Amino acid sequence: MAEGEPRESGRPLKKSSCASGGLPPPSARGARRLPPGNTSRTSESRGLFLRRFPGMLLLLIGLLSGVYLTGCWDRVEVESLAIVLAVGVDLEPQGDGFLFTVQVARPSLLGKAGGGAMGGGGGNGGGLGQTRASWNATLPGRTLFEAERRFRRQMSRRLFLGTTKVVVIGEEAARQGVGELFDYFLRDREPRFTLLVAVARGTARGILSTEPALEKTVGQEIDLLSRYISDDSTSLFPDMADFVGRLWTPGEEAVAPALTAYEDETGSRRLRVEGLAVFRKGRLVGWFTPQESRGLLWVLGKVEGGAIDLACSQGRVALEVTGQSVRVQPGFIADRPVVEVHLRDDTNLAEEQCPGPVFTPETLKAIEMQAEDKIRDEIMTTLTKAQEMRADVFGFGRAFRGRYPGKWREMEGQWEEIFSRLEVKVTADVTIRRSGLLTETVEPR
Amino acid sequence: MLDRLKRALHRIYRPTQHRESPGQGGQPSNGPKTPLTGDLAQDKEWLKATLGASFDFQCRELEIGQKPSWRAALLYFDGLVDKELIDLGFLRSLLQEIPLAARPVGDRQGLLPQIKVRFLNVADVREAESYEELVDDVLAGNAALLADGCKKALILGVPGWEHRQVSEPADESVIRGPRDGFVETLRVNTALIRRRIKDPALRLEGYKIGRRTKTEVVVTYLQGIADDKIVEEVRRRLLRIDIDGILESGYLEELIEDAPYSPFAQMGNTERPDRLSACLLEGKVGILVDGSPIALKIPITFTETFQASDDYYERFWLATFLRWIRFINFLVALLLPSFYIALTTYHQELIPSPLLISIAAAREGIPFPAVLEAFLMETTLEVMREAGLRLPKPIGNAISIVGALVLGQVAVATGLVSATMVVVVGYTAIATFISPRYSFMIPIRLLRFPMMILAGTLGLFGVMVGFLAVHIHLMSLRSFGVPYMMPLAPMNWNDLKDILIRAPWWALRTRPVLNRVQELRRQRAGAGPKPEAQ
Amino acid sequence: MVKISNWQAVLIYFAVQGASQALTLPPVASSLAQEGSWLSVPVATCASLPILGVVLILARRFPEEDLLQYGERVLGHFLGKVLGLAYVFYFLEIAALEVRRFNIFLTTDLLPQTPPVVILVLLVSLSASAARNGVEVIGRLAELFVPFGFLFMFMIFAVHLSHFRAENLRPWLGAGWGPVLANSLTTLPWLGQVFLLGIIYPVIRDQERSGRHFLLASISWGAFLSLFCMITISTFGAPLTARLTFPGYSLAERVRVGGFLEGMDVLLFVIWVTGVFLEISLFHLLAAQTLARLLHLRDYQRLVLPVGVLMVVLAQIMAENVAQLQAFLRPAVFVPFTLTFQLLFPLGLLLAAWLRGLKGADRRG
Repeated sequence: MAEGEPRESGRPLKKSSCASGGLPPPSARGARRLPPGNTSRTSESRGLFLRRFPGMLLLLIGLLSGVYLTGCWDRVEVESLAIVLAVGVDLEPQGDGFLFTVQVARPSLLGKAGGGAMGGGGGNGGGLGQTRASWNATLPGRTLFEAERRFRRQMSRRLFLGTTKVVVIGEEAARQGVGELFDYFLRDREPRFTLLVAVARGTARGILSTEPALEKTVGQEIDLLSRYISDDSTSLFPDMADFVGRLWTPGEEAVAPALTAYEDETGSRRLRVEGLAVFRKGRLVGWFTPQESRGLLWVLGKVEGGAIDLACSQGRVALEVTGQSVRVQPGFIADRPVVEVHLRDDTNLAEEQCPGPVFTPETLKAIEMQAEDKIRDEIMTTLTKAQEMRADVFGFGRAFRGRYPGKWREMEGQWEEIFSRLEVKVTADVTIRRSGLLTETVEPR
Repeated sequence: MLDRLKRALHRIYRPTQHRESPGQGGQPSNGPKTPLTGDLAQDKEWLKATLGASFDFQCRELEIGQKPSWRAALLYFDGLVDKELIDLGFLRSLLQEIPLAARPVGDRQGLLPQIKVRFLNVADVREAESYEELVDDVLAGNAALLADGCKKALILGVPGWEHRQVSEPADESVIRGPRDGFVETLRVNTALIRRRIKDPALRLEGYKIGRRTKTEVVVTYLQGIADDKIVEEVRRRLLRIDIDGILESGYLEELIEDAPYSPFAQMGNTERPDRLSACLLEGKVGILVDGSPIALKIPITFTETFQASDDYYERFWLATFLRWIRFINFLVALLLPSFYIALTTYHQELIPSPLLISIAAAREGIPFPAVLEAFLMETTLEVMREAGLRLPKPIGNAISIVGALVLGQVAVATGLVSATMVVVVGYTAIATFISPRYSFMIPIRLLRFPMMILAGTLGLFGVMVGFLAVHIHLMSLRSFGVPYMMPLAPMNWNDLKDILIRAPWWALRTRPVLNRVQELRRQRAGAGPKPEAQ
Repeated sequence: MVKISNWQAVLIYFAVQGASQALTLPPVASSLAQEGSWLSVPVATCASLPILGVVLILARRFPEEDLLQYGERVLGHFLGKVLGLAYVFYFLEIAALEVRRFNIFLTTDLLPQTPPVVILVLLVSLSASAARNGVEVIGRLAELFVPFGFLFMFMIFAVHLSHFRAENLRPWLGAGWGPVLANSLTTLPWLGQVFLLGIIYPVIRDQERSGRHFLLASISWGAFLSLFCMITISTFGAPLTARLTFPGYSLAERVRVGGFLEGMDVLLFVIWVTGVFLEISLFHLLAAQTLARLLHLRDYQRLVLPVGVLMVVLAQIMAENVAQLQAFLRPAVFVPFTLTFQLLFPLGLLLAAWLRGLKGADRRG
């Protein structure tokens, strides 16, 4: 023990490890030795900790509290948003600016199942009571932005256009020109490019105040209508990017779905899509009926479904379009611009009420040819109408521009004129691929 | 060829300072030594003085032999040694056989060596020459035999304290796989490893750490596979430790890791001998600590979070699928609440409108902003988790039922929190448990809170700031020199086969590069399964 | 010495390019070449290849030294230091420009009411902490995030490819090559950032193969950007595209699949924040390192914070509004400014080194 002591004390406390062979100090003596060693260690490590800690702390403070001190300006809780489902734009009756209509959701009535039922019930009543799942508000403004800000005066929540589905433009406003309207919707950060564009026959306000038939709000109804209209292919729902793109593209005119209000048998005002609104240079110039609209859609290659109604020996045949490809070929015959449109359509035999055998290659061929004629007729009808309106909704001008940019520069100035007299050749190739689950029709003996 | 053989031989038979038995120290002891005097009375007195009047210290006086007879003493701590072994193993031979021995046992100085070789039927016997060795060994659960006039003492390895039986580990349970887990006794643990890897290259280097606890610590690795530099670094760091006691491997972990301030674990831990063995085979280094059933693994990388023991026992399709579930839910656990906050309070336009409306409906009338709501819920959840964890199991269950079900239900019903927030927080909590490594998810649990604050103040940008900050930290971390995000960044295709997917065993032909293994190949090429040609 | 792999260097390069172009898409931002404006990307890419060539030849001549080291050797102490200072200014300026643009975007589209300085400080403190950790960490971050960036981008592309409107891309060359060439000048300064690969060359591990990697990188970035521009034009049509402030972002915003897959702009935002962060970190690091070398400091870490402060200040005073910023970015100003640093200085250095017969130590030697 006497020997151990001096060596023990000579051991530098910090460096020499006590690991393994390192001699632990014998009991009491060591115990007395340890406290100073311990304190020196802790103070040293505290020093180290303090030396390194400020840097990290600073970083943390810089990251977090720097953020905190400044607050949270952009924070808006969901429930304090007035979620706009649809907007409508009409002309102010005095011709001074616009009437801006917003359809705001009432989440408590919309969000839950029970609330939905209540909303529907209230909807039937037709009133604007608290039970309706949405609320329409209309305010005037020189600019749309001004009107939008005015809503703050009467709305307890912040108007939120971020998930708005559709903008409905009133007929009058559309006739005056839509180009300037879209500046707001494009420039503002909230409305998205997927915003659908529609034109009201009548006022947009009127359309938005119809009763939704199946959905809880008109906004949702239009949104869902747009999804399944392609089964009928009598209208087209461009989104804002498409619509504005067409407005700005030379040699192409824009179209938008036409929404009409009608009264159903219960006396409620309902909504339906009826063909297309046709624009020329950003102004509404006319309407296409559903039938005419399909004539356009054939050429645009947007027919994804829909019935072709044909006559057969003693009854009717309906073909269902399932797929389509179009080739628009601009060209010149003796310096006169001509457009050739080639269509290929795949169809199904959807319904057939003809007595006698139909399901033979020959009869099918005959039906196909009849369908081709029908398609051609539809296109030509639409073309005539478009030519009357001088609105190149088909985008033939752009086809020329793409193919003959040099000649297009010469034609561009009088394209409307040229279009109104443009010769268009349509060839259609219809093929019946399938016939559903039946071969021949049901014929009572 | 010859060269390689030579090198291999050299590797195995290299004059090495690492002895394999714990308790002797992994390094030449450099402390001062006090030699035994040889005078039994004096030695005994010294020991008694050193050890104090300990209640459990036993000193059994003996007289060995007849004509001549020697006074001797057997010193041990009651409870630490195996009494039965003492009785049968050598008290009998000392007291009964020596007198009957045909050959005399020799003189005073030679007595103990003679006894050692001729009479002690105990395997583990060593000689000690200094007090310090003696004290250490007696404290470690050995018995010491002193004889009058002999300057050496015999240390008899007869440890026999009570310890837990090998049982299934509580933390890393597996569906398929061995059921044994490490226990608190180091020897049992080393045996569990040895039983799995019967390779002479398996090294178990012993260290004693802790001035007072003198905890035995074993560094284990496969020589020739594990990187010598990493092993050397482990040694260096262990020897640098100066602390009074190591009671759990967690102490060691904090004392030797690379970035002491990081919330991320830079050493793996496992309770499973199979897992540790697998790691050793991959070229990692393991550290076993006496008194702790948790072994440490070095080096470790972040992707360890996603690897479970089961992965290697179940079919690889499932393992791969689960890996991805874990990846995704790791992100969910970190980001979901903050994303929810950011989207609902800053970027509502990114939420599909039906969902937005139902969230708005759910939130109508909630008194708190979303951030606070999330904070409240998350904190409550942590409280519940902590409360349930410490309590006895039946009560713990009750807490979680009351907490989760009743509290959640009522909170929503009374309009204190919104139902969507309950869903978000609940899912996040579940996602936190997806990692097979409990300790790896701890930083995620902690980081969630600053992330929520950031989301609540700056929206998505805030979330990104937090996310990137975490990643800057992760990228600069190293575990014993190995980049923490290793197979991902810096990317290593070889290692990704056990990260992004769990390649079937026959395709895991190489060891992970990230462990800097000396021998990469683990299977012969083309040794995969091939059905016999019919 | 910390080293990064070629792959990491390439990904850092992609991050720099992506951050500076993904949102604003400079090639389509002007109505100059209309439908054919995407064609100016390949043109600009070709024009940027000589820049890459020059900096690579220069870097290979001095494979172990950074710009300032050989700059001083080639030009002498004074001129070398001036050159170094000029480059510090350039790095700071570009970084500040990027921070500023980032800021403009955030305050326009996402956080209109948050004071810009908060965003600036946060972003720069992030880049500072990355820069402190060195090029290795930046390389790893790029390695982890940039591939995801491309994955997300291709997802966005894939969605748009399903309604790709080829007619929006015709005529390719409505007005001949003239406008396309002119338009490529708006893109060239950005693609010319390929010179950064020459700057970080000394820290690259496998220098033998760098040349091929970098060439491939700049070509594939050109291809990617062309595709990006093509898809944007095909989606919005050339006239609308040219009017959009952030065409890239608008592209992501327009995704709408099956009525539920919306909000892809989150993805683009996430990619872009990461990209800007990586880009700024790189410039931050380069500025701090060059400055440290100028001041003969052993570690650049001390300069990271001051450089960050400088960046924030520069970004604040750089431009009052978008119009001013765009005035700075118009070719007549921006092209000479960037080309000076991207091509002129390296070319001058190379010539001087060649005339003086100076060479750096070969790494293998």
